[in-house]
Amino acid sequence: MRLFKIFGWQSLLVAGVILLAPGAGFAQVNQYSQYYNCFYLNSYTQFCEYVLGESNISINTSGQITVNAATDADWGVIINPGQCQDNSDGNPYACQAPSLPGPGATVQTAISPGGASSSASGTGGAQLTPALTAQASQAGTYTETSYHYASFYDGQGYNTVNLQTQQSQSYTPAPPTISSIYPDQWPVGTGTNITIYGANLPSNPSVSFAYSNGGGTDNYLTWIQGDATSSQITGTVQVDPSDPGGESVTVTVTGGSPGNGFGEGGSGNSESASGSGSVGAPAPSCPTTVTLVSNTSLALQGGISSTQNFPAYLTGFGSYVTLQVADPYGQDWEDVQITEKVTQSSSTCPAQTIACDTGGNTFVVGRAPSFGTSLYGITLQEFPTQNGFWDLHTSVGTADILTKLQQGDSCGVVCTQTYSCGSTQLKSTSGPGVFTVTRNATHTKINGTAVTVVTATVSEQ
Amino acid sequence: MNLPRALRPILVLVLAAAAFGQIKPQVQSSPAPDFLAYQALFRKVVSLESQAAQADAVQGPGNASGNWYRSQFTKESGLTNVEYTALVAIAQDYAKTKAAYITARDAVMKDVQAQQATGGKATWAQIVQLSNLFQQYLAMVNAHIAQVPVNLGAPGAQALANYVHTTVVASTAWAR
Repeated sequence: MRLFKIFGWQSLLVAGVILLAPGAGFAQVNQYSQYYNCFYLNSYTQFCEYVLGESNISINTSGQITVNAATDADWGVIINPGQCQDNSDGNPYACQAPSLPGPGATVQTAISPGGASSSASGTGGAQLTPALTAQASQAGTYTETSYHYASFYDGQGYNTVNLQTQQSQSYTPAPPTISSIYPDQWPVGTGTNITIYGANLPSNPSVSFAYSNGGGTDNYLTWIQGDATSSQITGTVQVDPSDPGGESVTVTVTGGSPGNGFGEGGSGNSESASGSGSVGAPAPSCPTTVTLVSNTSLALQGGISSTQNFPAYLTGFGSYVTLQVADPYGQDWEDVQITEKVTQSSSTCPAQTIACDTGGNTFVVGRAPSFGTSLYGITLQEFPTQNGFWDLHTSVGTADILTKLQQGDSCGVVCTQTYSCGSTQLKSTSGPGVFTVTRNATHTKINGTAVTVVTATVSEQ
Repeated sequence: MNLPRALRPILVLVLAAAAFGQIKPQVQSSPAPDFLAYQALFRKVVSLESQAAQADAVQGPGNASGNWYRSQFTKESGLTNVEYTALVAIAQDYAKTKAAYITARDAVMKDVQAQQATGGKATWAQIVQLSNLFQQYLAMVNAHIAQVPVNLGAPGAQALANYVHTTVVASTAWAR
């Protein structure tokens, strides 16, 4: 290790730095550190070497630490032509060109706490590629320390320059929150699939329940999973049949993976988020509500196959509606039978023509009706979601049923309809579950043939 | 000359310095002490502008705009937006000129290293060419540093000097 040769004034300046620096170690450090020195190799050649070390640390909201660090090492020579002459003519006493290999550079970086480290080397410079990354395991201050080494050969020997840079960044995990739980009521004696919504939720959570009645051993999750966006947790709540029901429950989520807002162990790092739910009465054996999802018109002409519309039928059709049943617990009601009750409220149509269907038809939830999924040549839509079923409001005939009416005359019937499961009438989500079905019939002609065109509308009272 | 014993080492240093001064040829004036510090600053500004441009290109909910990055720097440095814009122009010109220097120097060095790989040495002409390039480079850097007070004005230059000395390069630490 050489300290001085023939130094320029910059070297004296650097020597001063050496004397002032504490010990032989590194002085204060920062994101950047520099070294610059010029000295004379001989009377006509000044050799300058310079090194710049830089590094920085950043931590994103998920706790991922990224450190970039680089070392720039470079040199230059300055020749004084007045002090020497070109030796290209072979004059052995003339100036000689110095040897000039490129400087070697190395950067070594480590993150504390955690100990993640990386290094890189190169000629003329070195850079961590890719950047050094690590995961913040807990809240606190993370510090990267980078050592920059450069080695110069000036034709006579090697000079080694060491620099240090350092930067710190504090990390505070975003707190977890629960915004809602759906459904928020779980029946006794059955499993309910639930979703806990919120922010910064863990991917491998622990979920616990606190009961208003002081209990707490009969309500548990059989499976739980957080999602990649930390915005929801899904699982199944299983309530023991012996639970008396009617209690409120505080749901608390704890634990989790690093970087998602939850503590990962160690004192002062535990975090939790709470939401609420309740244990209701035993699960019902029937759905409690029915909802009108859609009403699709079925025209006598157009969109129907040639064999199953006009002229094969001279009276028709109306509409089919899609309905959906549900209960507060979100249970699956497939294969449950729903029975309709229809009464005729009013009619302007002649007797034995257009009327309400008061036969008390039965529907099977989730299943196609007895006539299949094709009606008068139309392929019925699939059930929109689970727990759906179809109901028809059509009047069909191969004859023109309103022959007693004049051409252009119309009539109509108004029907009142409810749906029941067992002996319980289903309500709608916003009312008593009573629907009004209005069938209108018009005596008209299609291509010169007298027909009865039927339409149907459905609305909730 | 009779000098007190305590002063003799000082005289020796003075004489030695004078001797060095006589030995030293008159060469390119020395770089300013802020030579590397300002280069680090220029690089930081060029990098920041690149980052800001990327941010502007992916604008959307939750993304910071380019001006957010710029405002972080102006807040740190105390520069006004106008002064910052002037600094960007200097820094980007510096980066362009330095890239040209590196390209020219590396072209010479590539030949030198090829010669060295086969046991040869750099020729005198190559050394003189490298010397000329290096002196041009030093002059370029100093010119850009000198441009700072001209383009930013005295208050901006002073704010930037404070920033450079306290933030960009806090220390020179070395062992050798």
